[in-house]
Amino acid sequence: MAAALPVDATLAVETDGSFPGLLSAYAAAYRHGALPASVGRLDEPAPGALFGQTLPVASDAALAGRVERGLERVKPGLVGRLHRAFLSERPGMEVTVLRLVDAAQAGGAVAAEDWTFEPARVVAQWSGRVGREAHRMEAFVRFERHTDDESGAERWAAVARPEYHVLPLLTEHFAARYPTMAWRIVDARRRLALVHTPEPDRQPGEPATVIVPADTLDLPEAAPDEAAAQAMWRAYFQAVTIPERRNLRLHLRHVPKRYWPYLTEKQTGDQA
Amino acid sequence: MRRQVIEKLEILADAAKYDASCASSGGKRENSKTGIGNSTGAGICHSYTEDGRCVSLLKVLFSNVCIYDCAYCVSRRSNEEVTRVAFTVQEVVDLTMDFYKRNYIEGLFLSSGIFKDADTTTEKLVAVARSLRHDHGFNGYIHLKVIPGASAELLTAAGRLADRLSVNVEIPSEVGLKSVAPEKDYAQVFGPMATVRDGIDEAKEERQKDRRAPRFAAGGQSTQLVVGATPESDRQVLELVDGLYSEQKLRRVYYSGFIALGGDDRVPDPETYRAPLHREHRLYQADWLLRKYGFALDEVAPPGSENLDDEVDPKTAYALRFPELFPVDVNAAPVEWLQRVPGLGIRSSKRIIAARRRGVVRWADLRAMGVVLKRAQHFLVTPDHKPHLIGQDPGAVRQRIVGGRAAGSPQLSLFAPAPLAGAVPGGVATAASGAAVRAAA
Ligand code: SF4
Repeated sequence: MAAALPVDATLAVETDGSFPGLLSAYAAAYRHGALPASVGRLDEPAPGALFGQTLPVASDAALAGRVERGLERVKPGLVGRLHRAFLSERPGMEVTVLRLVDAAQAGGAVAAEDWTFEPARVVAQWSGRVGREAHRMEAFVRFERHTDDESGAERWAAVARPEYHVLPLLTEHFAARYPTMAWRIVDARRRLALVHTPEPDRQPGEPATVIVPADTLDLPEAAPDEAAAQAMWRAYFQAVTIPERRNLRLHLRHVPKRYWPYLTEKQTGDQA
Repeated sequence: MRRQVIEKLEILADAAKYDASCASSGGKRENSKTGIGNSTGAGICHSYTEDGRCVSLLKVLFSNVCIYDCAYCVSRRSNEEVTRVAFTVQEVVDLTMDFYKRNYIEGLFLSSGIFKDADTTTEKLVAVARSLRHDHGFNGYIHLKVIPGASAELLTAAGRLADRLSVNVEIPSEVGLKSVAPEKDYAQVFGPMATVRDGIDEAKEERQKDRRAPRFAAGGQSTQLVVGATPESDRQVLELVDGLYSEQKLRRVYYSGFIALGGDDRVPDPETYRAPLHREHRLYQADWLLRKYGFALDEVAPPGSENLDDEVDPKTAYALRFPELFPVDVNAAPVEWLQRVPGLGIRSSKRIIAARRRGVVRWADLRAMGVVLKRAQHFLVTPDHKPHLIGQDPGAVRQRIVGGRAAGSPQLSLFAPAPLAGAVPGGVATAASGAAVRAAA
């Protein structure tokens, strides 16, 4: 294995902002012989002439795939961890990811597990936070049934406001769970939607699940029985509480207030 | 007139809510292309009640009509305060599907009062599970409560359809059980439990030979113990539990700290027993050490002892009983030993091992690894941290740990203040929730 690359404080790279783009940037940096001190976007103007040299990198799926496979050989699960940390959208995370990718390819799996090495710790911690948010979305997303008056077609729609960009992480879970339902999950913060089309309604070759701008979607009316189903759930939620043990602090730790506007059991039901 | 489904739901969810098990974990079930639902094996809490418990499953009784008279149970025959209702099979099936499609739940946990005999009751539960699986292609989680005394044929049918089966032991000794549940005995409980265990073992073997062999309660078997309704000590409870894990191969034991609200004089007066939530919490910690940390029963609760340490968690109590085994060297101890250190968990121990391979671990590194230094500091050595107190005066170590979290401690305040006073508010709510609280069957 090669030695770890030095960080060149005068070097910046620009990518298309995707995760494969970032892995492609690693391959470019490797060829260049140094890691960049900053990662920018190809479609955004660079912040002045701060850097001596800027390396534009096109996203290359095949190349990114090679980097991924290399990392998976070093440490199974590492790519997922890097991807989750990347989806935190924290400033500077791209550089941290590149440093860990480099340390793993130079120093093997132990580097990725060594919490005294800052990039390993930062990536693990943010990966944990993003993973937790994705897990919470798997739990807290609430679908409503909508029906088209004319065709009678059913749509299941949910709105959420995740802290991090977790829609890509939700695809697998919901597609496996509800393969026959036409469902969508809108990220209200990012104005994006994860949209699933069941098999009979798909064009050949079309992926089952895609992420699209939320504004491009329309939605028929809520189904006539939707309000009743929601009322039933609220009744259930009330009935299972043990009033003598009510403990708001503990409750808030499990269900922080920021999720409440999108939780059926937290609505009064008047508006439905 | 027929009661509205929503009314039945309120009554039958209320009656089921004291059953401690909520988990949808254990037992992966994959979906088919045309079906609906799956179980990931990890379990998901879709919401939390205002008292902080996980809501994972639609947990209801099929009926709260019961011919038995268990003193700890709200549905007992002699309790005249409850309205008696029953669902139809179709109603439970529809509720489950409506909730599941909206991502409210992971599946169904169905139990029932014994409205006729054990088999008639079990037949209804099986009918619900069968309709979900066969009529609706439902692959979500199903947990069925086994009614004590149910026949082996019905248990087999239930096991084929469910992800988990449970028979509640309820009371941690047979003498205790008979004193509060006159119609029950341990044979009714352990008979079905053994049948289910053998069914699980057999199906596992068959499926190793042939992946298409039928499944049987792949998520395993669990049970619940009510602590505090009868006088067993923690050591007695844990002895039973140790046997349940090793001999009955249970996946989980749940503990339910008994809270009496008065009304049935076969169960103790609230004034006379320990804070039930606190006791429940300590038992869960001890259970965790038995299942996950490789502790032996005698290490957690020494033979001849009565109850777990009130002041400190069972792992700290162990360390204080064996001070000669500490402190442990962070840079040399095997992972099994690190895990036994108070303040270290399974994950932080693994992190230490990983960091060790690349260099010497120093005191400042530990905090970032998630070690609870407040407790661990007395039990761990690094080149720049050498505690002496544990070797000289374990009592003083206890003082410091306990002193650090006296009243309003972070750990205990997660729970409501022991609800002794609050539990007897009088008025309608109390009367409706019955004299003694507990779930069905
Ligand atoms: S515990 Fe079960 S058998 Fe006993 S009274 Fe309650 S519902 Fe009936």
